[in-house]
Amino acid sequence: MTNAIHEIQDADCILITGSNTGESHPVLSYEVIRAVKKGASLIVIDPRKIGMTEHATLHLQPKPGQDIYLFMAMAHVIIREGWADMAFIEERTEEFEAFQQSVLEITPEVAALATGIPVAQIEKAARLYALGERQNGVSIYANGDGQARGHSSILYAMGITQRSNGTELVHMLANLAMLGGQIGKPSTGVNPLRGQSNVQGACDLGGLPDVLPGYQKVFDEPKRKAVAQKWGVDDLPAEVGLTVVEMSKAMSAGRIHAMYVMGENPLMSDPDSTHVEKAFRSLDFVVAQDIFLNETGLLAHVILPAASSLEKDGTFTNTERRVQLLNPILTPPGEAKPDWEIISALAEKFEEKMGRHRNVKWTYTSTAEIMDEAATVAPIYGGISHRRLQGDGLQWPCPTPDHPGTQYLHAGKFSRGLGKFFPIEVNLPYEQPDEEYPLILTTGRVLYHYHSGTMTRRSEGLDWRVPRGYVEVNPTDAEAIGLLDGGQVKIISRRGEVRTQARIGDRVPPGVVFLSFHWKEAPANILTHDIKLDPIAKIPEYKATTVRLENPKLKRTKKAKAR
Amino acid sequence: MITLTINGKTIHANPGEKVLDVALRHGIDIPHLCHHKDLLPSGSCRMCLVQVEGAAKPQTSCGMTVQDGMVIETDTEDIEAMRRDLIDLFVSDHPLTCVTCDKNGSCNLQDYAYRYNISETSFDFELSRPKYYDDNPFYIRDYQYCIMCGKCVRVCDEVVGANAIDFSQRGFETIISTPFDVPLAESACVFCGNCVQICPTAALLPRSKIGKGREWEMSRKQTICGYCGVGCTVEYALKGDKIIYAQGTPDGTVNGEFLCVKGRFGWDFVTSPDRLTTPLVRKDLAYELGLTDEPWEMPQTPVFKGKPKLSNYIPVSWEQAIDITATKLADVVKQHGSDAVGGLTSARCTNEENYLFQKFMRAGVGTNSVDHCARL
Amino acid sequence: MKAIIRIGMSTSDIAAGAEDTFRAIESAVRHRQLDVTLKRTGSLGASHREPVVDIEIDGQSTLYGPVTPERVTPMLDQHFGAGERGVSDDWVISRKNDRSDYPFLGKQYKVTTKLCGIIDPFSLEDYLAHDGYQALKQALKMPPEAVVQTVKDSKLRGRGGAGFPTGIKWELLRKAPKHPKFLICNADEGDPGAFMDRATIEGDPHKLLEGMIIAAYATGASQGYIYARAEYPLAVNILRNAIAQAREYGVLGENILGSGLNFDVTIKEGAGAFVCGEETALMHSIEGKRGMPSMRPPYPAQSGLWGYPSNINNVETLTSISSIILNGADWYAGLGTAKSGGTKAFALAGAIQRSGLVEVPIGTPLKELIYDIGGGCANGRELKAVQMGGPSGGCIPARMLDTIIDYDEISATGAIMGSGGMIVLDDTVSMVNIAHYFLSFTQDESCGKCVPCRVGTRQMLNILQRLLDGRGRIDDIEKLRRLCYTVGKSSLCGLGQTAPNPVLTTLRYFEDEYLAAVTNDVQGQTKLVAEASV
Repeated sequence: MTNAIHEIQDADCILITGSNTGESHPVLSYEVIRAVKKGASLIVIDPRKIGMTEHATLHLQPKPGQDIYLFMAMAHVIIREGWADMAFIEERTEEFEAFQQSVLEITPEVAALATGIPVAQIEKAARLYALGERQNGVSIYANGDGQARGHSSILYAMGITQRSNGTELVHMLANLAMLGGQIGKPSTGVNPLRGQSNVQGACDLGGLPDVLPGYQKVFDEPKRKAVAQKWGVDDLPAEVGLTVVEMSKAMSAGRIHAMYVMGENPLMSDPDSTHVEKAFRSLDFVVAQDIFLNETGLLAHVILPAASSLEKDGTFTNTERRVQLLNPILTPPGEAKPDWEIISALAEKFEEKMGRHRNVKWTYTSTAEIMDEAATVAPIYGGISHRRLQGDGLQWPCPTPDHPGTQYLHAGKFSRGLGKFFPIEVNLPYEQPDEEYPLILTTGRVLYHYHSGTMTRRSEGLDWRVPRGYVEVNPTDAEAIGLLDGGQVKIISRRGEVRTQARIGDRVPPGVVFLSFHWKEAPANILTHDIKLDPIAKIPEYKATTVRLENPKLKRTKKAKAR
Repeated sequence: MITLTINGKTIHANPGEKVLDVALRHGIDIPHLCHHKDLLPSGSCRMCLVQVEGAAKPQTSCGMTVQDGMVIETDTEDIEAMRRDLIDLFVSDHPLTCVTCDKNGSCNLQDYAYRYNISETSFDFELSRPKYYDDNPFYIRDYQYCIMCGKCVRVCDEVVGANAIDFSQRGFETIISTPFDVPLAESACVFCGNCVQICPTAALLPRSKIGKGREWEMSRKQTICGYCGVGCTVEYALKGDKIIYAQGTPDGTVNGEFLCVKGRFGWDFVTSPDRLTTPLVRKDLAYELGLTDEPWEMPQTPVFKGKPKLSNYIPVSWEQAIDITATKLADVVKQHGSDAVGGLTSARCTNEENYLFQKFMRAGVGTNSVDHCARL
Repeated sequence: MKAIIRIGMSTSDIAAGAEDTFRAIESAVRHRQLDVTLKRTGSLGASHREPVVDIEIDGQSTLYGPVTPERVTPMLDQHFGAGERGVSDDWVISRKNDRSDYPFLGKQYKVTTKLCGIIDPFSLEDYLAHDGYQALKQALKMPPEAVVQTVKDSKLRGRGGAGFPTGIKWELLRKAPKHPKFLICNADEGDPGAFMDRATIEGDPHKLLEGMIIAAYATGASQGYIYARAEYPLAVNILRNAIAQAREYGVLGENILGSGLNFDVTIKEGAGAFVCGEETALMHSIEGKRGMPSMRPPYPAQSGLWGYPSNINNVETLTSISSIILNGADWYAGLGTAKSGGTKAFALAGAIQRSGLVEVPIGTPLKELIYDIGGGCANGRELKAVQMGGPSGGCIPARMLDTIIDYDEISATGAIMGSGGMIVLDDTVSMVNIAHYFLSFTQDESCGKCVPCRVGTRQMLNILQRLLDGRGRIDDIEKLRRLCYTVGKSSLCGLGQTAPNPVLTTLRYFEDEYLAAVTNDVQGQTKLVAEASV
């Protein structure tokens, strides 16, 4: 997030898109609710009727995959009506003209045709967002003359990024923010909501194939060499590695022979599970380090029992870049150990087996010591140490030990200098509905479960509340195959099929079905594909897979009739 | 800046602040039962009444905005007598079964009954709503203890936005209820338990707490929630080495006292019997390494058709497990090169662990093929 | 010959059988082919004689009541040709246009209820023919500030009961900086036995609308709500019709009468909760929430409906407005006392000879109202006390009937002016019982939000019940007093704060009845208490 979570409740206008905030980030949604109760306007852009839409000033339901038109048309309107913050654009940004050109043709009328959203609503959304108009009440940012622009905040999540044009969509949201000058100030910004407790930290500290800790590109030689030196090695690999989806392709192609999987369950969470399973089975060696034996663990040769987050210390970095300390609440069961101790022992032994005698540090006495080393490697964590994190933690960038941390980014100046407008090109989802697969499947979470369900499905209460998977189907689509609420239904894509229960209702519009990916009995990712990833972020298109529904009962009766 | 006088003390406050908040901040303990700093004032408990110079009637300090020059007395004889009567009235409709009550020691009503020395009501003891609901695994509702402060209704409306409950009925029988008194599971309740957190009495209690110990026997430890990326601070109440219940804490950096259903009630997976407690080697590899005499072959049934079975593995020591793993990885690297190994680090592990993992993959194994489920 | 027959068709007339009477008259008129205008009107207020029929021939009116269907034929015979046959003098209420021959009507001074029983509430033309919307036209020519000033000068005080000066209330709304502003008419008449508002709406709905439109002009409100009881279906129906007529006539909607004023009115039907008469609860109810009071400040003029500046006046207040504008502030102020202008309507009920709706100038002594207009106690009993102000009010003993009708004077007795409920109690009544009756009403209607009202009134009621059952305890009266004090001082809203009034006033004037109710095993102690208290 560019901005801090607590700033949301003071926003004048909040735009939520591609985030089922109430279910995936409930506590953050409380901030939104409080803002709305104080009079902020809330724009929800989502094909589904999610919980937040009940509180929305404006709920825009674009046809799945068409929302890019909506955002472009909003920009078009903002420019046309003179709602753009020209002072901000001139002073703080570059390449505005190219962007302006790219939205010139996308009038609200064009967007209305593509998205199914009325022109007036597109125009209203543009005005509310760009000018930060409230529903009622007085902005805390008002300077008394009532003329000041309100502060608008964009919240988004995987509904934007899990698309073959995800990067472009994110660029578009950033364009909107710069257009309205809605960035670099409190209660504004472009705020991705991160889905896991430490997904932010895993990225920050180099858990990505293209960057070293602190987002230093592996191919940036001086930076790489500097890190290598700190680690006591001559150099580090300079070529960008493989992403998780690319890895399973490489396994199948025989290029990867062994996998070390720590606290992940790619069999459930990666697209096209059938293919992922084949890939894993083809490996010479798989080691899985986890708290439970999950689906991926089943294919592992060695299982290493790990401590859960309640059983260890260390730090997590949350979605607002805040690094916070963990405290052990319990002791790990049996012989289970914190992951860092396991990695440490393994790395030491690996060095030995490789017959190396290098001066690389693999043994640590505490997590605090590891963080101290990481701080010397990742400049954005430069000033972070466990000692400083007591209390409220620190928000990176925090380059030096006396730096107070950064509540919101891009204040006064963008990190890269001038904010860059990206011209936008319309790209639509790879799979488009056709006669054979007429519906669009979108995946996501439900409130009571988390990811592949290894944790939540072992929690008595959570499992009681939602014990099994279900697919949300609009009554129109249900009727077409004689499907009843609660009835079994087959969902079939070009990759495979799953069977689950149908929940019929208007949470999804006609033509769209929703299935969360928590259920091993109905694994959504059997259906999804990895054919076209976002070219930059390499994210699979989970939010648009074409499928068809079959009613197992109906089929039988039809066959019977045919006989 | 506003200057006012409370109990003869000159106090400075910011415009728009409420008298009660200002007083509490300055250590002036005005009694209150329905006030919460993150909720709109409701004024329902009447305990925070104070005497304001120039006003005929006592004023509700939780809802009164500070004004320059205000002169306030918080504990006149008249007002203290009234507060005593109010507690007397509260306990005429609230069983003083403190000895067996799970809220004993953290009950606000009990604190005030103690303060005003009320061991039983001087009026007729009469329960208005002896209703008990045990309709979900998260929390119970025992309305005989409810004092109608309405905090649960407000938090559900103002913070959570679920609006699952509201006041129902009228007069003495007024009760907090779901619409048409349907079970919580059929209501709009999202089981975040924030109502349970801020309930001043035993009307709402986490189910996991009932009969499991007294408040003063429990130790409390805080950590960061392991679920989504918001990073809420969760406080665990433990008796010995067992978690009794989890709750938010007023000093939670991101979330204050508020949590969601997973953070508050979804911690029990950690003590699941399914937890892995010892390193394991799959039987085919174990046979290959001579750890077992029994040959075994990995079944070809797709994983989603079968169930993860521990019987496919044999337990080994940490030394053995680390040795086998290091050997196998080293073999692959020696045979196929560094890029023949891939590593998946974890969005659920700590920064330190992620740092170490990628360091191992890059500086140890020698590949950049390290990733995690950030995109998934 | 010009003949008009007016038949009172208000809710109370209908309850007395007016529908049958109307049908009988209608069929007789048709049958006889009489050239007569039949008019359904509201109530004249003489409930004790309903159904009431007024036969006006060439400007000369004869008022009958109660008119049962059997009395129709002789009555029509009397006036339309077939000679005098069987009309009893008892049937006739008045033969004089000024009603001076019937003190119940003749001694009243009507402002807000002036046209009730005279005009057809469904007919805009009727209203227009009686200076309808003339006041609005006049007000629109004045600057809004001048309208506010006129109302201030008229000394009109809120007729809902609390008596806050209406002009000041309007000024507060006018000066509130936020927009839009809302104007709310409180027609949630909830006091047991009170029906002033119902009768006014059922008799002359446009007068209320005209008052609201003038208020909107004066205060800057753009939307009006009438919060009416769902138990008043006829009144609501009449209002709906009137609103539609007003829109068509151009006095509601955009650019009213070409003045640039935009204002419209919506009816919200309340679900019958007494507490919804309280301003903040009423607004919550309009917002679709549970009708529960909230703390004041903020006052509605600062933050009312949906957080916007709002003003709430009751029906009687708003129906006074057009007369004030037409006749001037001085005229209105002159009707009343030094601090309070105008007239006040009361629903006179209980052990009274002539019950019904009466309107008298502020300053009229209670005695005059009860004896001259109401005819004193029914059945020759002795008057014991007058209960005023409903559940929030109190009892004024017979010896204090010289008290004049005035907010401050009535308050000094411990009762309140209230919205107009007036119940006459005779010497057969137990005052403890009366206190119990009103308190049990309040207890049932408590919203349950604050403990003094929810539990305190319950405990008071328990004590009263014990006293009534002869199970009184020695310290009960002391406890009762303590509860009265705490409940009255610490309750959140007016409902709770005034709930002890019926107990307090009866304790004040009829303490002996309470003492007599205290029995105790230790007789001596009871006596001691009794002596000590005397």
